[in-house]
Amino acid sequence: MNISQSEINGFMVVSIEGEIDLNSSPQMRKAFTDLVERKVSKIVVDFSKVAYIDSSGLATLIEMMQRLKKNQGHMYLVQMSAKIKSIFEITRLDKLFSIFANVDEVVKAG
Amino acid sequence: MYRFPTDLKSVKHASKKILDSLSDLKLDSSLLFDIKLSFEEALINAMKHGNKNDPRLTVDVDVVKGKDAVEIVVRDQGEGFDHTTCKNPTHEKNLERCGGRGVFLIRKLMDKVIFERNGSCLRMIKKLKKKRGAR
Repeated sequence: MNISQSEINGFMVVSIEGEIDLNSSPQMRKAFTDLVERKVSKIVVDFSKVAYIDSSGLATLIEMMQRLKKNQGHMYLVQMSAKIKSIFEITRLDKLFSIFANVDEVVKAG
Repeated sequence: MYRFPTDLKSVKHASKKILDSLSDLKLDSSLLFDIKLSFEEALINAMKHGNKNDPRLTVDVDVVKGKDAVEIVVRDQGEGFDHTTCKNPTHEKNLERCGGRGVFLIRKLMDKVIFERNGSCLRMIKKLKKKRGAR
């Protein structure tokens, strides 16, 4: 998994490349933990290069969203493929997360 | 039959082997995604909860390719579990719980899911849709 970060209009965009699963989730958790510790409050997770996510990946995202919320932060998910989005819909996590088409939409809404 | 050691780091390798064994079926990416996710969730459960991460134990996997469906059987060497106690993760009160979505996803993504041998054997069946235009 490759993780890169860039700042756009006050939002920290975390772009993930690869599969989010049991083995790669700790890497993702570490990246988010570093951001939370740096008091970054608005995180956008770019899924455009994510082709797979398992239940461990979902659990890690929930955990990170909860930590952000505790710090009055917010997590946005963008650029999901139809298949990844369907996993969020099946599990009803689309009700829990703020899912947007792209970063521009998040900036407009935010 | 495939036999995999109880080692969570080997899940991807195992998954690739199983998916490679289906390559002649020329399944579309959506079907492959469903099978991959269901198999990996089942294998992880078998290693973690069935075999309790004991490296001396193994997980056996059978793949049966039929004309209209693929059947995958995942057997661990543990004592099994009561699958009926799995909480529905989509219930309002469970939505923010971090765990408990593995079996739920398998049930949703596969067409038939059967727990056997007290839960230590999971048989899952996915009906095949041929690629449009494929013969």
